[in-house]
Amino acid sequence: MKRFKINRNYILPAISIVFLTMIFVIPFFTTLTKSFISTQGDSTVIGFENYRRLFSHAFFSQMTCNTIILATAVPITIFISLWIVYYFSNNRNLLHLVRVVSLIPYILPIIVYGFLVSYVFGYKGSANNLMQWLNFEPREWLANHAATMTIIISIIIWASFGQGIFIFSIAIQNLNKRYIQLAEVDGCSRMQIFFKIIVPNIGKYILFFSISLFLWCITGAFPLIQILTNGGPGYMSTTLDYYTYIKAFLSNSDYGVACASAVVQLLIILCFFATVITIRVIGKKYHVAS
Amino acid sequence: MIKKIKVLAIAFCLIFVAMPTLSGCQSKNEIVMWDSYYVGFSDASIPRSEWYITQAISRFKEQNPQYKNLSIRYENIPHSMESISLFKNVSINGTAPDIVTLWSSSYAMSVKEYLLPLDDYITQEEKDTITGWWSVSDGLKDGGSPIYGYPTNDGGIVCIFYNKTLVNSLGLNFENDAPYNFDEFLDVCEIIKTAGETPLLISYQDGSQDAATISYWYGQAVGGAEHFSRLNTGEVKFSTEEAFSHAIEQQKKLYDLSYTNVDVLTADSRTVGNRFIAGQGAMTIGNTWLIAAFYPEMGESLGMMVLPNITDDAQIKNTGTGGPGLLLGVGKNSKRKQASVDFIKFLESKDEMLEFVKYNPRVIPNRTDIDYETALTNPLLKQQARWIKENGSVAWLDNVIPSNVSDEWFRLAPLYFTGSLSKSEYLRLLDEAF
Repeated sequence: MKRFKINRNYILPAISIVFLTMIFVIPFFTTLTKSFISTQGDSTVIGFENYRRLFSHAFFSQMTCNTIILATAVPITIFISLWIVYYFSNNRNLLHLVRVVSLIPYILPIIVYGFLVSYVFGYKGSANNLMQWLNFEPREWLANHAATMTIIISIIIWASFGQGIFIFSIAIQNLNKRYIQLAEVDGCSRMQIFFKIIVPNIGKYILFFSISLFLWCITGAFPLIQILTNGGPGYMSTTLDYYTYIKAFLSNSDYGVACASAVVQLLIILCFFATVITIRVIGKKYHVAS
Repeated sequence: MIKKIKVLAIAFCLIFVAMPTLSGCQSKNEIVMWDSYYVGFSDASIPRSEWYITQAISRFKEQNPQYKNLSIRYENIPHSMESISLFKNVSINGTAPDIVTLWSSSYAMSVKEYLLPLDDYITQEEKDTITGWWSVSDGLKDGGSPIYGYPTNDGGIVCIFYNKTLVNSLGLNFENDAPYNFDEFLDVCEIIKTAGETPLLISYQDGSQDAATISYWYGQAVGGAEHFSRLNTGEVKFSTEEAFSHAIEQQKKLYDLSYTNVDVLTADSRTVGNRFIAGQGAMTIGNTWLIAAFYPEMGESLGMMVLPNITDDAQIKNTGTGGPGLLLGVGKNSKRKQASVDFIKFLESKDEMLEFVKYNPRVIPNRTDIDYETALTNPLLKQQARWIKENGSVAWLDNVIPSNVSDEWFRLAPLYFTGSLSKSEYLRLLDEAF
């Protein structure tokens, strides 16, 4: 009788696949399925009804806009962290210090920022104390849409630029220094070197960081919104992921609509990936052609 | 190497598969109770053996020898709307507790398919002595059937709490001359504002303020819960309800005339309460449980009066929003239905309610055979009990309309009060939420 042999090379990947299936694949298909069925009593298939209810919500466009607005943190964070790394790249010791210091905001839990900022921008917070000291009227910062979104984006940037510095400092260290030296000999300005040499040559690192940060912006800002505004006033600072929470876990939960909202978020993420892949493919073709 | 990996794989399976499965297991002679009431209101930091519920379980087993081997596992769950979703989830998964406390009325009715109808278990004597059956009955009306649980936690009524020292210093005397109608209330607010004080400390952040005041002013005009339920059947609509429209207009005036704290949109209820205790405002609006928070800090300086009547010819006057807030029910798939019901009956008995009042002096028991004057110790609680006895109370509107509509109401109200939404748009969106 032939003895069944397990190829040990497959065991650990198999465990990972089983784990990923349990944590990601099954919930994904469950969410997708539930977005097409009624979760209010009877579990009947209702087609796109949950999506119709989601899209016809009076504040759906506001929530989608808020979600996309948060993503503006991605290019800003990339630019800031990349510029800081480039600025200090000539001094390795200083760059090392900056890298360590800038990681502190990254390792602090986002919920801590939420509480700190709620104290700073609360009506009786230090921001209004400063306003009064400067002879301005105090404001309800967290009741203002523009101010709230700006605050949330600022926190995302503050909490993630350390990770960017860490990644980009490795990228620049791995970059062939002769390119920069040759450009300097040719009389290029620092700005020209930054945009014409540094950025194109560390594209893969930028891509990795932008994808991870984009995902975080779309799906990870929930605790900040919960602590700062509860998505309000009204739906002014509600994003799609916060709306998913409202529909899934608050009051008379409506999982169908919550799942539809989660699927829409996934589509936004897929659109971003599609755009990135398209840009890379076109970029490569252009590079080959030129 | 292979052996180590196998051990790892088995450990992995145990952690991620077996443990969650085993944690949901229940022994044969055990009742599981999910509750937010019997411990949530008391100090959870005291030893478990001193909790009211632990002692009540012991008394239940002593008085009922047939259950002496029964184990009652008590689990504290959040006292919030999330408990409804939680109960729904575990019911779908078949791991629902035997006994559960849920927010009553429309909140509990949204999960009624997972609750055991108790009509056959409830005696006539219980129906006559316990109040608030409408809030746990199908159709949300007295005499409705099936009945899905026992009503409990009569939270008293929503009142205006005021700082006597501050108010008296401005020449006002609410004890003898409280504002009777809304116009008189606005006059009082103007006097306080002119004196440089904040008349009213409130929070629009979580919707509870709306639920309290709008329910009362709207309910006063239309007669309360029975009329509210016509919104559910579509007989009336928010956009065509003059009384609702009038109530929200009056509430908006408080904001427009700057009679409220400036940060009404972002300050939470706790912050507002702390400011009231610190004397940073003359009045605040809240439920019975605030007495327990304010009285120890403010003592005799804490005053209480009913909300102003929306009009002089309102159908219900001189009381507030109130009624039983919780349902004590049994999970439909409970394997120990009789024992679960017997334990609920025990908790709802006169003797146990009196025990609970001793343990938790901020509760007004919802039984007609309890003499409030002797059972309650706090003078403000006694006063609330008198108001309820004399004038009844107006049901919470959010307890009658579907909870998803309440959610929408609480979210949109601040936008209307601050002028971000017009009244017609606000009412239209509320109608669309049904």
